[in-house]
Amino acid sequence: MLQRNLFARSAFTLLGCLSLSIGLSVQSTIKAEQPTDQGKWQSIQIYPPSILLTGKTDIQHVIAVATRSDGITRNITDEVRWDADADELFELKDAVVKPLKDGSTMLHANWHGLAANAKLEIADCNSVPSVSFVNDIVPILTKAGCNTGSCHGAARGKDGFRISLFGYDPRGDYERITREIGVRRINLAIPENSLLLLKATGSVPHTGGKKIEVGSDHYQTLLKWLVDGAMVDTGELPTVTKVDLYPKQIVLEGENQKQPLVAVATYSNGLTRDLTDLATFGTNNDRSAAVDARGTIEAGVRGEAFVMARFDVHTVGSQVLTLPASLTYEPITSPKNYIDQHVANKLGKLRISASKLCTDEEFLRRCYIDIVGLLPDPAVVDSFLADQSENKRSELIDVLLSRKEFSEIWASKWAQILMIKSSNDVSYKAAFLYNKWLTNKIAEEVPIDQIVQDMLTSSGGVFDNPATNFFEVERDRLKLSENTAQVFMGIRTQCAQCHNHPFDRWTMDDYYGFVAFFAQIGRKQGEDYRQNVVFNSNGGETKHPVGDQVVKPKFLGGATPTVGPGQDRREVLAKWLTSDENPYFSLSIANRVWAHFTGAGIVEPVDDFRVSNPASNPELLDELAAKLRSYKYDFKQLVRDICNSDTYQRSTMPSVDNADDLRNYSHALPRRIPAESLLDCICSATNTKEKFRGLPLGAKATQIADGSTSNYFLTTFGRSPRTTVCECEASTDPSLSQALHLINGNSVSGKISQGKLINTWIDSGLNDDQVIEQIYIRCFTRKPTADELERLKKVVSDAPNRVVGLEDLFWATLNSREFLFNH
Amino acid sequence: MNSHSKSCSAILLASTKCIGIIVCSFLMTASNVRAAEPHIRRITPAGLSSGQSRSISLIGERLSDVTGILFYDQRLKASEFKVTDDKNITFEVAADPSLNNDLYAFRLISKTGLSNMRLLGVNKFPSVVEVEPNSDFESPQVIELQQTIDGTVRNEDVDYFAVELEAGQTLSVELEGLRHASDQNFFDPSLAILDANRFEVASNDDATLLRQDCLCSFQALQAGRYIIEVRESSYGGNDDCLYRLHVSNQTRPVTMIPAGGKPGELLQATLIDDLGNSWQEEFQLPDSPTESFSVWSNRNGVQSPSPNYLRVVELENYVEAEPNGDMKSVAPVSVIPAAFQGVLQEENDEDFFAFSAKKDQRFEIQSVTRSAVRSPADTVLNIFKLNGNHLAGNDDNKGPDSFLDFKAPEDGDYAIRVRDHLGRGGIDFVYRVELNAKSPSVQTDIAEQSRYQSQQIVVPQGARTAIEVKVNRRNIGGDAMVNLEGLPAGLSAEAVLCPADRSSVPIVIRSSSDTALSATLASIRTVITQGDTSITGPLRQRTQLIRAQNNVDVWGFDCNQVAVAATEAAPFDIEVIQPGVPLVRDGTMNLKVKLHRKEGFDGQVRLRLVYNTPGMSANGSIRIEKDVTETEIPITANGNATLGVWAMSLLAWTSIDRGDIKLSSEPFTIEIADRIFDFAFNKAMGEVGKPIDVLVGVKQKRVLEGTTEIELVGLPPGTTCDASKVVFDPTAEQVVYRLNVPADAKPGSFKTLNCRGTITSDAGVITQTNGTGEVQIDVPLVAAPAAPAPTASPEPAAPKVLTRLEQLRAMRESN
Repeated sequence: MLQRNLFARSAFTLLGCLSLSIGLSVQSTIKAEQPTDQGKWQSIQIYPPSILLTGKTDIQHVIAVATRSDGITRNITDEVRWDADADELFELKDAVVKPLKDGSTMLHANWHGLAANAKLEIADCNSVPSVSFVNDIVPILTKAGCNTGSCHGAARGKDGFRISLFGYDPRGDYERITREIGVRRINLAIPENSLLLLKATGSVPHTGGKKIEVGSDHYQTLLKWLVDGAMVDTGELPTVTKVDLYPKQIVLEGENQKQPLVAVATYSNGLTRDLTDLATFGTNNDRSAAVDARGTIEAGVRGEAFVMARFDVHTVGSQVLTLPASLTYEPITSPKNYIDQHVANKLGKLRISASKLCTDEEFLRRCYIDIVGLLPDPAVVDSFLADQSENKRSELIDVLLSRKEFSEIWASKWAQILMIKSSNDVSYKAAFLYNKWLTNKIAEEVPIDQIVQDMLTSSGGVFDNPATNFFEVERDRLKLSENTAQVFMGIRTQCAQCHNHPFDRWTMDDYYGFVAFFAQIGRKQGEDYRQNVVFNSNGGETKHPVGDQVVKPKFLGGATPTVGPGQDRREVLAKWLTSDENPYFSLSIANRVWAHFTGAGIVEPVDDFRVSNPASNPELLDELAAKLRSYKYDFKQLVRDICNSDTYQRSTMPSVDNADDLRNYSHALPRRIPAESLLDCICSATNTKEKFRGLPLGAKATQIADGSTSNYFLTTFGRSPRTTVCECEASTDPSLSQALHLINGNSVSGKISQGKLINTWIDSGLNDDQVIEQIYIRCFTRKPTADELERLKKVVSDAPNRVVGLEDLFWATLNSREFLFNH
Repeated sequence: MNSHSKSCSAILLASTKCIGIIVCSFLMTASNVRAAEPHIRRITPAGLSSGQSRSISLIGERLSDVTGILFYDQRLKASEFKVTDDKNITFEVAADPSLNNDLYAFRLISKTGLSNMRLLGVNKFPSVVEVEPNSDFESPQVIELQQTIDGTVRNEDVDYFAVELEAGQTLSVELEGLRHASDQNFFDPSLAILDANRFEVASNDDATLLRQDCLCSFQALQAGRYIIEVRESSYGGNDDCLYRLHVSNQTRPVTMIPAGGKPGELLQATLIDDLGNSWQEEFQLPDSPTESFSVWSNRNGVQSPSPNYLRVVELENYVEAEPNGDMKSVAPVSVIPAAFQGVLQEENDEDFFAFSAKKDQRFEIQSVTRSAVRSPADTVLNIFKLNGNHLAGNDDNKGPDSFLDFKAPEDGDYAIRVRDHLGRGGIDFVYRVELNAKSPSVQTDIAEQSRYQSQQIVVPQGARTAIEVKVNRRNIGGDAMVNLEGLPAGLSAEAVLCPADRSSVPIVIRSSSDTALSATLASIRTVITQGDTSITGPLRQRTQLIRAQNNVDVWGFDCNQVAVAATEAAPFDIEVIQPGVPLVRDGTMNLKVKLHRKEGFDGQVRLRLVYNTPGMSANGSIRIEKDVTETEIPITANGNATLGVWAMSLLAWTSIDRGDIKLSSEPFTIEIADRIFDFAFNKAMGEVGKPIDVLVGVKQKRVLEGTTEIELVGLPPGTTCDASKVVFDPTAEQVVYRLNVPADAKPGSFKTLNCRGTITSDAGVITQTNGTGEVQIDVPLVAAPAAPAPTASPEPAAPKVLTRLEQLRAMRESN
């Protein structure tokens, strides 16, 4: 049933509008001068593309935007000539459409020969809807900031008045406003004297100051609600089903360019609402694109920003690029594959040139570290550099992908975010078997979706079926559901445990609906006292903390499935999670794989997919995800695509105009080698073996099964302690301890003496030039330049003896940034 | 339960002749060394081949006076003892060809005691010793099929063994690792078979049949070299992690169906191996019921490396007949009690069996699937009215197995549903469910005197020792006669009666002064007779061989016999003076103990009672120090101590060379009697500087010979009582104590008063103490005015002392 009280405006506003709009028709305005680059403008658009006005008080802001052939956009709202087939139906003034009569028509915009149309429908023009607390009052409180965490939305409220954070509990808010402390906050006899209004308008002392102007639209709506008796909503209320923000993509050329946004909410009853005065606008890059409270963007310095609008539980955003005027750049002309094409498109929009490709030496070292976590043997270096074939890079990639170390690297990465670690709940054996299971699955090229399904639906003993350890490393069902969302979908739902997510779409309903999938996990002791048995208990429910009602299982961002009695909810979840219906799974996996090889996720952090944290290149991410799906989740093929792209093979040396680019892949990013691989590289460079608890001598650090196994080197260099599912636990940030350990610790100097390579080389008759070359090839995968060689030989000759000099040189090489970084 | 009962028929100390040789050997090598409590830590190698003899080395502690070996199977014999030092001995073991592939328990016998229990493996394959280095896949130790390899998994060690197989040939490998471990050395091995390219073709970590030990088999598609990998499941291991690897070209059964039969029956069973193959074999079942009877497959003449287990009970056997996945498709069996067996063939398989019952008929329905049969199935049992409602269900009442105590609500037919808890299924998912009427049974156990150490009986010459036998009656009550049988010559023990209201009883075993040193296994027979019904129960003693974290029992050995040894005389004896008076509830008693030191012994002796009766406690850490020969052990009984006369014995032990020599006193009795006194405390009040009278009502419930005294104890600090102990006339009802409260006494309310009543006679002292009385000491509100000088007058009669309540009443009346 349509609910007319949805878009209430106060009666006072209504009267004012009527008196002003009578007899007025559409205003046509062409204020600006002719654009100098008129020939390049390709099209114009009207936003929103269709307008629905319902009731006397409904309005809609409209904008017109022109798009140039090179993607530049421009606000031409004030420049277009507005026209309509039936202009008696409405009034358009100051870019606001107001209804006059019921009917339907087309709104036209014309600008220098370019035209655009928008459909306009007006209904119930003579009705004045009543005010809804949930749909009218709460949004005003949200827009005014009353229910933020720093004000009355705090857990304990503020100054004795508490309402729910961002309005997640409107029923509770109604009770507190109208019932708490008697009726202190409202005065139905003299509504204007209600404390709610007096505080909001700053008429009485208010810590938050004046939030609403007396007489403003918001004030009038609040007052009307009070005048009408501060009634509670009855019946089924329409809910916001989506919010649209226009334009979706904005490219502004030159500073101080402005572009207003239009936000429109669509309700479950089909009606729409202009959110210009109600949405909360924000930006993630103020310097490039600031946005004001009414959603107008102002271009700043060159850069990229994501401007978002939040209303109800919906947050939507638009991408904004700001460029200096008259910028020139060198476009990518021959992309090698789809990855290069999407990167080229993005760089083209940003007018950023790409760096040239890296050398064979750089590629060889980079590929080895990225794919197998090791340095190439000197023999491999020689043969690769001597190889003149065109496909040698591709062939190398294929060879490396077939090695077991590839699966070990990825098992180690997954082990970090799956928190494989012995603890009071997980025995060392369980952790070991869990890691072994994971490594074997990856080695056997079991598709990722299948591995995830196996984990999520696993039952049995933690030794018999190690996948069940997924439910043992974290037994708290709330955290388990959060971890599942973060690990497999890249979504952080933690906020929504206590309140609707402030910067994303996730609500408490979503949160507890997702938790409900984990409500029926049973555990019991196995015959072996160390072995717990995980099973589907067929019983147990999750209750919503607001209302204490049982919550049915609901896919995160998806439907509420029908789960039959006795059916394992985890199976239902696993099937959906890895299906094409869930867009996040493939996106998340693709993004993690991409980030491993480029040093930056397209969504960064890789496990924080959020409306307010958009992808830097959504088209690229979408295609990577689509490819992953088409490869049946054989992510090795995706790695092949990535490593074969020019994007991956670009030099780390930036060009003049791309040095500042860290997210658009115009050049490769030098990356500190992760702790485990770095130790393995030091071992291979020095020909030594490391010993870890619970593994045979010579095992690689990437083979460590148990997160609680570490050593000083690994801990210092940021090995993931595996205490949370966050990818950020593994750190490559530099620290003084790292420098001191490399300089003074036994990881470098001890291994140089332990490996005895210098002595071996000397004993085999190599001269200084040859030894230095061996050191360089082992550590840097390249030969020293003539200049380097000259200087290094002097260092050796100045040393007390030859062995000491060469060992010092080896030590210095291992301490260099060129060694520590993958570049 | 983590191990299987062994029917350890008589014991065997090799032979008398053999003992003589052993003792002689000891005398020649270590005659001046004394030790007690020998302990075995490592056995190298961990077994031998049947029909052969092999030199075995033992490493342990306190081994210097070892004289022989007590094997739990007489077909093993030891000879040629060489005691190298306190930590090392070697000897030759001969295994009779008739021995089946199994583990055989033994203990070392020393002059002063018995060692811990260990197991020795016997297998029909020839034994080969592991040769290091074999930790490199590229250079494994080459072995043959039909061999048993004795090896060790050291820390983070991996052992590789190579075998050559022809195409189509089967390789089956079983590893005994956990089964050779002991103490807290939890060895959890892992096994894999790899092809020449390192790919795993078969692997196993834990085989349900073998617990944490492993078993894996495969059939080679291609001829070539295959590598067997042995390691600890998570790269642990140490020098004590010994294993025996049985390498065979014949697979072994992992389960069989039916999983049991009746005593004396020739059972035709279907055997299933770990590759899913099945075949038939016959087994002769023993004449008496056995919870878990060991049988060996002899497929193609190759005996399984270790036994499978069958349940032998007097139940009618029923094997499932498909279709039985629905209640509607089954009919009640014709005979109950019955045993139902079947296989959960596939995922989510459910099997139903039906039976008829009368209203209020009671059954014990239990799955013995894991406990007795070692099947991987984790059964869940549910009882339904046939084609009707669900009535009862259970998953894990008996570990992974299920148990239901079911009473039929009405005459009619009922159905039992069997399924796996995780809905798993497979050819080896055999189950056995027994439907039995509740029947009486009794069995005994011996209480441990050292925690987690199964109790042995070690009796020094000319002395005695005591054990506490626990009597576990099931579905029956009444007196139980407990009889220790099979003691070696020179040792004796009288049968004792365990009264119906008690669950344990002490037994004293005596040794004459000329008892020869020997060791054997004894049994305990317990008989309960009720009218014409008489049931007999055995001893069931578990020896924990592996305890894991928090002393979890991981692996052990169940036996119905107890090791007994007659040892050298102890250097002391102990005597308890029989108390002449009872210990009353809320009472205390000092047990007088005399130590008789033999010449040259001046060591410390520790004492404790063999057990405490319910509600009674005795100080368990009393010591008789050097040069002291007497002491007293305080004993107390709480207010709910169980009344009666309790047989008792006192254990006494001394340490010699880090081991203990223990004996016990002659038995004596402690009588727990009811309270003699009832004390009633009235709250007493007064002011500092003035005396306070404390009135205690006393009622003596029984008049006994002797002097009765009542003493007030627990006086408030600073106060005194000139006559805190008064002789009490049993006919009186009250005792009044005058407390002297000095002016500087601490004011306040003191709930510390107790009364101790004693009756002293020639027989002893009975003591009972009860509380708690309260006295309140106040500070005067106002200083009292100076009293006028008293006029001379005749001394008035002493007024009656009033209780506080009487004082208040008097005040009210005067007002």
